[in-house]
Amino acid sequence: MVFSSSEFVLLFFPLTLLLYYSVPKRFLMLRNTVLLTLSLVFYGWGEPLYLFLMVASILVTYSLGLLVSRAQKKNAPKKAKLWLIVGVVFNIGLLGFFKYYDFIVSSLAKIPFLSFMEGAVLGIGLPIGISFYTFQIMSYLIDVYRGDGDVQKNPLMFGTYVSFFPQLIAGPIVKYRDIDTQLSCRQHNVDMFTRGIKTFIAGFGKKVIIANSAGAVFEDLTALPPSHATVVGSWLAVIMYSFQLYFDFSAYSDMAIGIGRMFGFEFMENFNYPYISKSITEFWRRWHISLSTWFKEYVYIPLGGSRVAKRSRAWFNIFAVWALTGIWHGANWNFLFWGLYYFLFLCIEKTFLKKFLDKMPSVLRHVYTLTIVLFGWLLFCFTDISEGFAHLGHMFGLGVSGFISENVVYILAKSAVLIVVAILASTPLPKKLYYKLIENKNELTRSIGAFGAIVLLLVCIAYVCSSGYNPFLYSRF
Amino acid sequence: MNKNKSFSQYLLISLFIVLFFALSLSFIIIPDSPFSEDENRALSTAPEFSLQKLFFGNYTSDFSDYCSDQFPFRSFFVNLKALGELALFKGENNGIIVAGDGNLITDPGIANEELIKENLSHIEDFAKNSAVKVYTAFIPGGSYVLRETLPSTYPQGEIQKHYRILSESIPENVVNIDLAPMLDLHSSEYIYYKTDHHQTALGAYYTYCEVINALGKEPYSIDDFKRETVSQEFYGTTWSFAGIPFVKPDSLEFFRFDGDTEYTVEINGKETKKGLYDFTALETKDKYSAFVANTVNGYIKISSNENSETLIIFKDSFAHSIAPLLARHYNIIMIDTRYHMILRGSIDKLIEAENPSAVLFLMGAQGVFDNSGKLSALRNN
Repeated sequence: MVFSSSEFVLLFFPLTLLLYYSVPKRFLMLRNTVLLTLSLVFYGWGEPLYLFLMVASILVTYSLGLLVSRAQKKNAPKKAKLWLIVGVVFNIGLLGFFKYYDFIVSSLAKIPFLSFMEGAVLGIGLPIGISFYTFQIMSYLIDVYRGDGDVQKNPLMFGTYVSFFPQLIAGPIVKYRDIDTQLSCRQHNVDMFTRGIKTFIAGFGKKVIIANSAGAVFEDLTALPPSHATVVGSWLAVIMYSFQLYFDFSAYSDMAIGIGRMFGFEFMENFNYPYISKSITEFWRRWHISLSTWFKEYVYIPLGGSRVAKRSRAWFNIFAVWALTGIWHGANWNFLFWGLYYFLFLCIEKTFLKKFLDKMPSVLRHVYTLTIVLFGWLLFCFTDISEGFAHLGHMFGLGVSGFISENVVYILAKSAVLIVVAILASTPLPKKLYYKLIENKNELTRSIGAFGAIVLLLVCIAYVCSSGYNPFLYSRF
Repeated sequence: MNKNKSFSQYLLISLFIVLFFALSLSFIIIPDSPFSEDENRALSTAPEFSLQKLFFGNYTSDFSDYCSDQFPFRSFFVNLKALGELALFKGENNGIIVAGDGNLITDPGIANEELIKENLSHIEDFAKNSAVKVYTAFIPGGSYVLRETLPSTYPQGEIQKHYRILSESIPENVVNIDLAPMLDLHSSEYIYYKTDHHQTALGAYYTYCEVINALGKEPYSIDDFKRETVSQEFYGTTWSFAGIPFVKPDSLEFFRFDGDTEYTVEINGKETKKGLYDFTALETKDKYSAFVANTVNGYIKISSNENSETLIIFKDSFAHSIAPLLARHYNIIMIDTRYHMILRGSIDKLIEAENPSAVLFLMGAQGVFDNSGKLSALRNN
């Protein structure tokens, strides 16, 4: 199920609120169980069979967590390490099989004498959210092993943590130790609920109004036949894709954080206006923060980070993180290259560019960063790399029918306001204005703000509802 | 937290909760409606639950369809979304351009030469096997005739390209009746509905004149018809698609003549009614179907004792407003191109038995431009 669906708006969300709050505050465990049950429904909605896979992951890791902790207590570090390895291999194995098996096999089959492997391609459908929940599960086990987090003895609580529906399928990737105490003791108050509503509505708007519109413009542009390729059209397509990606993804995190707050949970921010970054290093501190910190904490630092004897090893550590970050985004070569593309630019910045950047005017630093990010999305967007190169060529006038065409002028005219809205919404400006003019002024402005928020929510619901509105030219027979 | 601050917070929370629960309750309480007039389609109803369907069928996706089809206050939300799109200055919604003079016009999209040629090749193949002369008349869309009302940035070249490819690709074994010059001449008149993609009765009259001339007959003069406005409240299909509120309705007119109620209308060989116009349809939303009858899966035969010749028309809904006028000269068999394949055998026999003077393809040009498959159904196998 997704947040922007009719069944979520009409039934799932109100029902969850109702059931959750009809359990008295003092029975927090029962409230958690309500969340667990409904989260399983939420997950099983799209692909009921994969529900069993997730439940299996939860149960196995829960048991291994107990074993690791018992071994630690008995001062048997080898045993603890063994159970940890079993857990990590099990979880990565599942992720590897369901996400990467077909990619690996079909890639191998391209090697001439291995072409027989073509027959081994299974056509496995990716279980939704597996990349997210597997990482959450592993963070738990590693934290327990390292003593960074406590073991969870109650399987229901552990299940609630992994499957909690707001962040289940698209993040943020919540670390167990960040939420451990919240599971057993958390505040439910008006302030938090209100903040939750606001974040939720902001995310909802970003998703259904900005991201979907930008996506539609991108579709319009890519639907133009190759003979219509123009320089402006190709640039506009990548720009729209960049907007779609950011607003879609960050909107999901916002909605997750917002819903989390309504149930008393505080998750980490996942996006912090990445498009206002002045360097690639900064971009990755602002983009999908929960993923970057996960890799830093569970891959980069365990590999030794930058505190290693050999310089080459330090480079390798960074390389490994970015190769993994790339391939985490999807089982395809372009994602790997996309990760390595960032490895390259981060290295360049680390070695010498940063000094120059610091002296440059900030306009140039923004232009530099956004350009790199934009070309990164080009790599990200086309799973067929030759198509990506063709598009790159179009952006620089190779193989185009012209600089701009009247079709592109029309698309540009239709999306001009959207582009302005998207640019503004990529900056902290709307939030600042909101605080200045509404939140921090007086009770009247805040009340008007509350009505405004509800109107925005109604508009968002209107977009959800209209997506199912499909008139037919002819009546059915 | 100070006391003052909490009023607005309670307000927000209450409105939020009330909104969600009101929607949810309305969804549960309001009885499901089986049909949507605006969308002209059946709506999904609650799917039956079974474990089998849940795990191996499509219970959840059926249930999602059910929720979205039975969404409470749907037309309010559809209008609200349309306003949202207009507020973003997109100038269109759901593929319908909000043009000048209150015209809602279907965006014809990008011209696809291969597709147009392929669509026309089906007519060419048909004409090869036809014993009688085949005529074609493609009715230009509102985007062509009302192109002056489109937004100034609209790619006019793309529209011209559609029609250029069309006229260059007409098969050599048919006689094409080019309607565009005549419609251009009358483009300032009310010849296309503002809220629907079809021609008005007046537009249909001009089309009729061109067609009947090409068939070698003298058209009746406009004064030979009694023009009768039958509805001032017609909201057509482009309006349904666009979902925009505060749009003025169209008026619907019939070109009547003495004896037009005496015609026999048969659907798939069964006599269904008398008369060229179906007045009962005026009571429904789909008022355009008052022209002869609603589109049917099969053929419609219009006949009168006055006529001696028969005309076979392969058509889409555009032909319906023209057929009553042509019926003054011919008995007519209208066959929807999309259902030709299904009825192939019986239609061949029908054509043989009726001994028609000509075969006419009379349809919206959009059917040739797009991949709706209107013409591919003509294929022999």
